[in-house]
Amino acid sequence: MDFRPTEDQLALAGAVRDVLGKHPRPGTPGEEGPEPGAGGVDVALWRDLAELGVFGLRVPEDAGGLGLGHAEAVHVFEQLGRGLATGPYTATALAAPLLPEYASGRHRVGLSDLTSGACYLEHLDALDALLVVEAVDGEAHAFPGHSQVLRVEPIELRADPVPHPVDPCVPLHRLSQKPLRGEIVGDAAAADALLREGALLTAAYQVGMAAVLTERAVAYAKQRAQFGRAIGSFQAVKHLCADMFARAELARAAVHAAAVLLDDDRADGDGADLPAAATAVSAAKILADDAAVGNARAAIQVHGGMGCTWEMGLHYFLKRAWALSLAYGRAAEHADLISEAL
Amino acid sequence: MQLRDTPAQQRFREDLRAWLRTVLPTLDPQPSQDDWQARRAYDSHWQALLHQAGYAGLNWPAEYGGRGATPTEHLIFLEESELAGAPYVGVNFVGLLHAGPTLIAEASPEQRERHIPAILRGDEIWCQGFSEPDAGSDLAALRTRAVLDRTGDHYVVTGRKIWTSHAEVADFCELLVRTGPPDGPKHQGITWLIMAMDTPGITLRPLMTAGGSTEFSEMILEDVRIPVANRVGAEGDGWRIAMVTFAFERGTGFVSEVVWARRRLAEIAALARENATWEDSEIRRRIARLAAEFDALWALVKRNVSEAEHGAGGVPGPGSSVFKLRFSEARQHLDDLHAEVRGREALAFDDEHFTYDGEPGYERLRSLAYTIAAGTSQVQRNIIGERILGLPKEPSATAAAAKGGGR
Repeated sequence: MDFRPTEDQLALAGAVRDVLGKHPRPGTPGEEGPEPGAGGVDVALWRDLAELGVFGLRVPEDAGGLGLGHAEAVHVFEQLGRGLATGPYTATALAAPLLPEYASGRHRVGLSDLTSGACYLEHLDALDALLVVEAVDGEAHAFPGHSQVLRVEPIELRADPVPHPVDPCVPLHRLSQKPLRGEIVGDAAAADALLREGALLTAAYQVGMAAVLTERAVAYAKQRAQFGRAIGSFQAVKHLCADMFARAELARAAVHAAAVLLDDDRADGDGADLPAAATAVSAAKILADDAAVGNARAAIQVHGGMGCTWEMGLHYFLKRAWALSLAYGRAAEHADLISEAL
Repeated sequence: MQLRDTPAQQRFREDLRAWLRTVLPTLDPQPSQDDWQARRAYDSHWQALLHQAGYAGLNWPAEYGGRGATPTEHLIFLEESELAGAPYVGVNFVGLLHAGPTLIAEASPEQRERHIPAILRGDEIWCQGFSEPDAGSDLAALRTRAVLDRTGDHYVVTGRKIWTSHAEVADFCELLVRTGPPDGPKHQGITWLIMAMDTPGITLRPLMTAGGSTEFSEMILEDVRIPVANRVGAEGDGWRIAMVTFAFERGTGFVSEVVWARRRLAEIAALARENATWEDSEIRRRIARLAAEFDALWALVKRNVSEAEHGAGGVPGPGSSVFKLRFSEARQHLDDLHAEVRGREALAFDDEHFTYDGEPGYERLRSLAYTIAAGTSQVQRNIIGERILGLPKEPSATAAAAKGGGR
């Protein structure tokens, strides 16, 4: 057993971080945010990350990908979260193992899970394709084994733009058309895998945000002085920061464990009493959502009044954390999945 | 990044499992926890069995009779022992986990020879005399005095110690005393002594916990004469020596506890299904969220142990403070949830033999101490804030007074 990230995984994370560092990011005070193109995507950043291979990460090498696993993917997505990268990154990375033509990142793919009753589409104007997870018989809720994956042409969709999405970086459309017409590209197993892997990548992204928020709160607590000393020397503030660190570290351990278990397809255990991969993913999503939302709130609290302002940029993280905690399964849904397995 | 055993680790696990399968059925039922002599006999017998099988002092260096096992093997040992329902370390806790490792690191060859093999065999029980009524989280403020007698070959010790577990059956005590001036720098002037528990002048006052268990005592020391030859390390170096063992744990602390908690949660879920509290989605989801928390803590243990085994310096990373903080709180939630699922059943101790072990009402009361013992949750947050995140220390009261301040 060696549960530490490997040198290669750290190097991959470093490469993604370097690319993100060359592009403007939302949420950094005193910096211009990115100039988003159609559908809210920073096209230059997307292109650079595509060149690095982040979309084909889990696609086999002979199909044009990097042939890596979930353990590598979560390292990439933690960095995307740190940089608040905006666009259909998760959906495109999920689509590529199913449909290897998306491995290059030349096309942007969205994903919507209609089985959870959602009818909001993100980044619609930037999409080249949309994958939809839906119930086979057109019901709102799919029974296990009764869902499928549909590929839909975005331009053929009837959808109304939401005038003011809470997350200002992610344009939303409300779907006004049902049923959808498209090509069936995956069965129930493929649909389940998409949603499970989506929960894992989203959890990794949330951990990245939770970690960067801890760093920002700590840096501010060291530098901001009140009552004649740095506010970080007060235990009341210090303990907020300690809890932020604990949330991010624990969630990261959960995300890494879920990734390793999902990669580990050995049916015969060595008796090490490993949890089931699906349960581990749900646990990771719950912990990571808590960490991102909790740390965004705590970071704002540590920053005091300025934390509530637009210019401090912390609101971007809170809004993204809220949105992602509703994506690929809310806490209650993942809790139900876990409880069924108990 | 992987979680599977290596072939060697798998062999270790299988051998251990086979051994546990043969040996556990030979054990007598656990004695009442209030019957101290029976407990000592039971725990020492178990330790002797471990010793014969080569599992005693698993993580101790081979040259001191240990097995020199890696942190991962230690983790496997704790996992498998817990899964098999093997006895806990019990009254050997201080000797095996604290005093023994300290003696290995700091004692003289004669002292080691005298104590280490006996601790490993389960023949020698130790207790700890660190905390005092006025020195808890601020341990370095301890005031138990040790002065050299006229001949210069004995310390004469007077003071009070508290939370002295298993003192009734202990043969020796690892004792921290103040040899320096009472108003000197508090981390200096502390000395580490081996005190034989049959020395005249030691009085024990039992200190019953809220759950009714009797493992703790207050220990009153009046002119207790301890040979200078029983001093470990130099006079005044006791604080450093007392801290040495914290690195010895290597991330494996609480492993049994996590395994236990994950199993207990499955039992709570089964009980909830049986008595229909499972129909309450709030209860069901609280169970699930705690399961998520313990799965994450399990992953964090694996991360900590991996860092101790392969990382620089061989010490666990920052994860251990995070683990302690989150585990102890989750453990309390677990026991509360269990009580909620049991309803009014939780008002009765269901334990006629007073073994306490696993009895939910008792565990619920015992878990009160989790956020206090071995560094309170508040101290853990200070450690994370100051040592890991680099936040400035709160100015100490003495520093504020020296500045002519005061508030």
